[in-house]
Parts: sequence; structure tokens; C-alpha cells
Amino acid sequence: MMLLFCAAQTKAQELYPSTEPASAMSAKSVGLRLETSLFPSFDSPNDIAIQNKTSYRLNPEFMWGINKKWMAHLNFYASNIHQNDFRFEGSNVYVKYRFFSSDEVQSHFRVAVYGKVSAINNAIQYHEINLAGDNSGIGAGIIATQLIHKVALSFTGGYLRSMNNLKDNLSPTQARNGFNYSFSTGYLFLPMNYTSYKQINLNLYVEFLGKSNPASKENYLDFAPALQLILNSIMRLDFIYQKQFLGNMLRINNTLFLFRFEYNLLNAYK
Amino acid sequence: MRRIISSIIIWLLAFNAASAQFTKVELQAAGLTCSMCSKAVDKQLRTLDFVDSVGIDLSHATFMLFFKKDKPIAFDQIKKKVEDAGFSVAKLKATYRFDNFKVESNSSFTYSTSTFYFLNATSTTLNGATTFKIVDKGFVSDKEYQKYAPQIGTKATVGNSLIHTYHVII
Repeated sequence: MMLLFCAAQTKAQELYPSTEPASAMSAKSVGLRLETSLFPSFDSPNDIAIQNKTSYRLNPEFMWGINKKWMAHLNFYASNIHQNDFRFEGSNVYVKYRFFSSDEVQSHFRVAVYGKVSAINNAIQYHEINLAGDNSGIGAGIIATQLIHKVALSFTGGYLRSMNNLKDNLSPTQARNGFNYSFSTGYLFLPMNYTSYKQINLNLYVEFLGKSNPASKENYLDFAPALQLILNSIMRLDFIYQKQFLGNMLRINNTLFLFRFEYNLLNAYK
Repeated sequence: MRRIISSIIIWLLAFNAASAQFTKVELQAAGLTCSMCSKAVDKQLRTLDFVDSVGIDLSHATFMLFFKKDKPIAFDQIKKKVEDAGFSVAKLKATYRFDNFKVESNSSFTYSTSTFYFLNATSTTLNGATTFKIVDKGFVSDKEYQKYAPQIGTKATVGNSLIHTYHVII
């Protein structure tokens, strides 16, 4: 009986920590994020000397709900990954357009497309095309998010094109073209019953994140469980552990810890 | 004497307003799964100049709208605000205070710049607070709208900016 009660109260969640859902932000709202990634030295897949330290990256992010269909993110990156001192690396712009939405009371299906452009000043040392701090380039893709009763599922598929970084060029062994894909699911763990905006929400997520460089046949697939707290219905804390379980791609690290703080200003302007 | 007359006028106006007006709207949003999403809808609804206060039943994603006395209520604006928050209206029930209003099949009443057609009315007289549901596109789920679409027919759902046409069931 208790189990039945729990099952009936469990609700799906789609505020995915490691990917974007197809849903858009509230119009005329602004969100601020501060993200810290930690790349521990023990799980470095390569011999690059720079890996004999714990690397970390800071990522302030500004989010803007332009209208009900369009939203944009502006990211800045700084880290000590590619050199010993901590320094500013560059930025990227992400734009998402939700073009399909079918809503029912207990379910919805939404589809969005996105585009990304990054300009990065790092040395190019790895084979992963990462527009979030390591590579200059462009990316585009499609996101489909389905919510059915108590399950929220989301798929992302995208194309990545790397370009020369601001002060370093791609070598012949580094990929120009790549693909990214992800599968995410999540659910609301607490509260059992929504009664107030002040209740702390606890959400749990499981995400699978992958990339492929077809020319060099390099791939990876990461498993990324995450815990999320929503405070006062406007603040969000994400704790993510990301671990490679399949792959042969030369990348910064096979283990990643990520912490994110998000604050939303709803109806930030008229 | 002038004070007495003016109070009578104010009282009459207030009585008039109370005798034929919307008293509240109950709105259920579709696709809401988190308190953050509900808060976004809540905040959007509060920006409407005719909304006085918003109550919420979070577990059912249902909002109660209460209105200012002196401003006309625009239902298309309510729908737009829910959509601006990234969601849609699954159900909208409005409570209107009728004053001996005779309903026949296909009869309608006009409020501000909106006309409301009764889709399922049998001959009756409405008196006092009566709740009805708007069934036009965007005010119910797509699936439910398909059920009413033949009855609504080709008549404009939400018309031009000057006159709005709504279809309701009691």
C-alpha cells in the first residue's frame, strides 16, 4: 500500500543537469548559472604532463527566455586545464528554438533545434570536440523530450564542427567533424506532495552522454547520475558525477565532477 | 445631500458590477512537473493588469485567478501568459454571475469585447454564480479540442483583436 502511494506521487522531472530539454524557458526571464567542473588527476586517460594535477573549470552562464519559443545562453570559461595557471579561455553562445509542442495534462512531447558557436583561446590537445571550453567551432542538433505520467525522457542528437582555436591550429590527427548524442531520464523524489513553493525538491537523474569522431573512429559513452535540489522554486543546485564506461577517445579525463548553482529571475523585464 | 446621492450612485455601480461579472477563473496547466515551472506560470499570470491575486494548488497544477473589479478580463491574454511560461492550458473554468439570463441552444452573451456561445445549453435560466468551461483551441488539450471542433465549426475561435468569440459548456 505504501509502495503504491509512493508510486502514485512520484512525478517525472526534466530539468536535466547535463543536457538541455526541448522545453523553453519562461518568456522575458533571465537565469544565472555558475558551474564548476573538477577533473581529478587519477582518471586521466593520457600521458600529458599537465594532467598531474586536479584541473578545474569555472563556467558562468547567462540564460535568456526571449519568448515562448526562443531562448539563448551565453557562456564564459576559465580553467587551469591547458596550462598551470588559471586563466580565461573563451566563450560560447547557444540558441534553442522549440518548434513542436503537444501538451496533455499528464504528458507532453516537445521538439526543439539548437545551434552553438564557440570561440576559444586554448591550445588544442585532445581529440574530443568540446565547444564548452576546449574548442572553437559550431554545433547544431535536435532535442526531443517526452513526458508520460511518471517518466521524463529526452534525446539529443547533434553535429559538431571544430575549427582552429584563436591561437592554435587543429593538427591533422584532430577531428574536424563529430557527433554528440545523449539520453536522459529523471524523476521527482521529494516532496511526496506539493503544497508550497518553499518546499525543497529533490530530483534524481540518470543521463548517458556520448560523442563520436567518425573519421578517426574515436568514441566515448559516459554515464552521468545526478542529484538536484530546487530551493524556493527559483534556485537550483546540481551535483553531477560523470564517468566514462565505453570509449577510446583522447579526452581531458574519464571522470568528471560537476557542481552547478542556478538562480532564475522570472519576468525579469516588461 | 450630495454625499448621499453620490454614495447611492457608487452603491448602484457596485451592485451593477456585481450582478454581471466574472468572479473567478480556475485554470489547470498542462505539462507542469515542477514547482519551478508552476512558479513561472504563476509569475506570468500576475503580470496581467486585471488579475488581483493568484491562488495555487501545486499538486494539481491548478491556479485560481481573482480579478480586480474595474478591469475587463481578457481570456486570450490568460492563455498567452501560460504559453509564455512554456506550457499550455489544459482546462479553464470561469465563474460568471448571471442575472436571470435565459439560455437556449446556441445562445450567447457578451462581456466587454468578448462573446460567449453555449455549446451544450438546454433551455434554462441562469441566475447567480455559474461555472462554465471554455473549449476553444488552446483552452483545452488538443485531444479534447478535437471533440468540440465539429460543434465550434468554422466560426472564428479567438477572433480579431477587437472582438473575441469563445465557446463554452456548462
